[in-house]
Amino acid sequence: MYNKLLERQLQKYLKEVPENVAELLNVISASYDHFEQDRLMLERSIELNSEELLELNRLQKKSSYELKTLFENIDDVFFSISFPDFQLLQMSPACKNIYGYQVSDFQNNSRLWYESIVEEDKIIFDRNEKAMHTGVAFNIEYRIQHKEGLQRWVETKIKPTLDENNCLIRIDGVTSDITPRKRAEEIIKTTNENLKTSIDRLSEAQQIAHLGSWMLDVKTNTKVFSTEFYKIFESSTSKFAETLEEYLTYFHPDDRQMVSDAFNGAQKDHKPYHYEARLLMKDGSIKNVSANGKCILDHNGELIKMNGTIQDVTDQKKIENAMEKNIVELKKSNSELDKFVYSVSHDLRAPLCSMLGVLEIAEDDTTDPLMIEYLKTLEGSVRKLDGFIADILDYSRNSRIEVRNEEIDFKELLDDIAQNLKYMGNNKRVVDIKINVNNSVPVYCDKTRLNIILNNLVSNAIRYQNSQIPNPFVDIKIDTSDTETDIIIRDNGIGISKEFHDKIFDMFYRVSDESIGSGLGLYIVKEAVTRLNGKIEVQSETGDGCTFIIKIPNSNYLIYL
Amino acid sequence: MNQVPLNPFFKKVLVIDDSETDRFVARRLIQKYEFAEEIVVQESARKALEYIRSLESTPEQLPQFIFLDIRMPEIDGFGFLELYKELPESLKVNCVIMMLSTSLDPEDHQRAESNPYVSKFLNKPLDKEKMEELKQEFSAKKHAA
Repeated sequence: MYNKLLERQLQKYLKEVPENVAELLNVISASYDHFEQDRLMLERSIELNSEELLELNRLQKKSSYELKTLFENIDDVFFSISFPDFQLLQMSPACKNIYGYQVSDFQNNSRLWYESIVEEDKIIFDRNEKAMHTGVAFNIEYRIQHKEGLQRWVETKIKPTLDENNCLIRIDGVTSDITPRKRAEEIIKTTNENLKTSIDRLSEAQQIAHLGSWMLDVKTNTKVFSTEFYKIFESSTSKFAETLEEYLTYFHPDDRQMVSDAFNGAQKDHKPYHYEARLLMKDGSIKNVSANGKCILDHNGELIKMNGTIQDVTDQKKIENAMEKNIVELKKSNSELDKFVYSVSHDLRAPLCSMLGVLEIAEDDTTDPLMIEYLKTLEGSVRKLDGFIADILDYSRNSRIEVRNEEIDFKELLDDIAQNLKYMGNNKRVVDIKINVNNSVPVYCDKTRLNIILNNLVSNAIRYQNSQIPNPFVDIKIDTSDTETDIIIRDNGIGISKEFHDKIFDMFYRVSDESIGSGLGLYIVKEAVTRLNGKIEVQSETGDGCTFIIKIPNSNYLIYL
Repeated sequence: MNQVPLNPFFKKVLVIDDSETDRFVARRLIQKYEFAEEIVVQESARKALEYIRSLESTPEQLPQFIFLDIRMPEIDGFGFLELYKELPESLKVNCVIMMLSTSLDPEDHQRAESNPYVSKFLNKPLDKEKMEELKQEFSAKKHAA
């Protein structure tokens, strides 16, 4: 190269045609000098350039190292992929943290980075294909499947690179783990959703119950009312009850003082309050409301907040009032009917009793056997009529009067019955009434109904005694236990044939023409037993006496159930 | 008189009943079983009260025993007892009141038995057995008096 330069320098001088050799030599020498100068300059310049180059090279090496350190130590994953062959060009070691795979794993399977994207999130990548091919940078968030199986949320910033023909040749990206952020976001989202659901449910419940709620911050005098609250007051949400005075105007004038007292009282004594009041609506209609309120105190016992509810109970109130009215009317008509029944029964029985009184005097005052027979027949008929009236009274009382439980002294009850029935049967023999009571457990029952049951069964035993058998008796056995009372009434009377057993408890059923009762007695007994939740059965054969077995559950036992 | 005669049982018995038949029966039974020396019958509570008041100056003529019917027009048996309560004590001493009725209303029984002036409630009709029971029951009292 130097020789060529020298040669060219020589030719340049030679073209100027030197006259002689000496001059030629001078020319050669001069051109050599020039050449030498040029060469030195060139050398110098080369020397300088290489120093710079070295420096440059050093700098480049340094920054490359720094870049490499960064590349290898940063938490985020740097990666490059070539297109269209989809080959992984590089990936930073942080992939171990995010994916659980080593760089080598990605190198061995160039599609691993794509395969690790959660199946349903691959579409996020695909959706940005257009952006990729136009070279626009973009950010995407998607889930990846960690090697250990867990899913992770990642965010990737992608910068596509196009060639001169606008064909995608590679993408470079940074992938960061955003799982904690996503989790937090999800928790917030779930919490928000739950909160919204709760609020919706609360609102729905308030709507169903026609119940509104309010809260007052005493310190700031801010009030919060629920939607249903406004609805009850038929007021717009923007302007409502700035002051207590204004709030009171919604109430019936007669109730305002009470509402005001309840509210102010609670503010003073910090105790919860309850009141029922009427709202006077704009159209003049009345709404019944039931209100509750309470105070919230801070740790110093100072009032900070008050909250409460108000419920529209107009419909309930209407039903309640109607029911109350019905009950009052029912009670009145029941008691009137009761009085009526007693009154009628008295008015019917009074002349019969007068007749019995006169009959007895007449029987006593005559010795004529025929006359005595007439009078006895008359007396029998009068007593039958009297018994019938008493039966109807029993029936009426049993069907209407509520069961009233009291402690029963069976001995006393039966002694009274025996005493009352002592003179029954008159011309017949005296029936021996045997009473056997085991009243070891206190029994709570309806005395009136027990009396109806026992009185009817014992009087039947006396009425239907067997004249063929000496020593007629009726044996009454009562056995009390924790759960029930067993009553067994056994006689040695005429008995009842089995074929009639399922009919004897029917209304107005009489076994034969010889039956002297009204046909109501056993029907009433059965009804009364039923009202006491008990059971009655009969065991009997014609001519072989009669046994009635009654089982009545104890009402005190029922209470414990 | 030093010796108290056993018969008749009471000196004077007052029967208050609106039913003529019942007054008749009572009068006849009282006579027959020598329950009282003298029988006064009144057809209403008002008349009975007037009668008792009329004896204020002659207390020895006051009845010692009253048969009182419950159901009567105008003033019933309980109404009579209310007014009887207001009478001066001197008109009420040593007098037994028996309530007599055909009423089966337990409320009537209860009211009668809880009244301090009423010693007993009896179901109508009055008859031989009841008269004898009464005599037995009050003989001790009679002797004491």
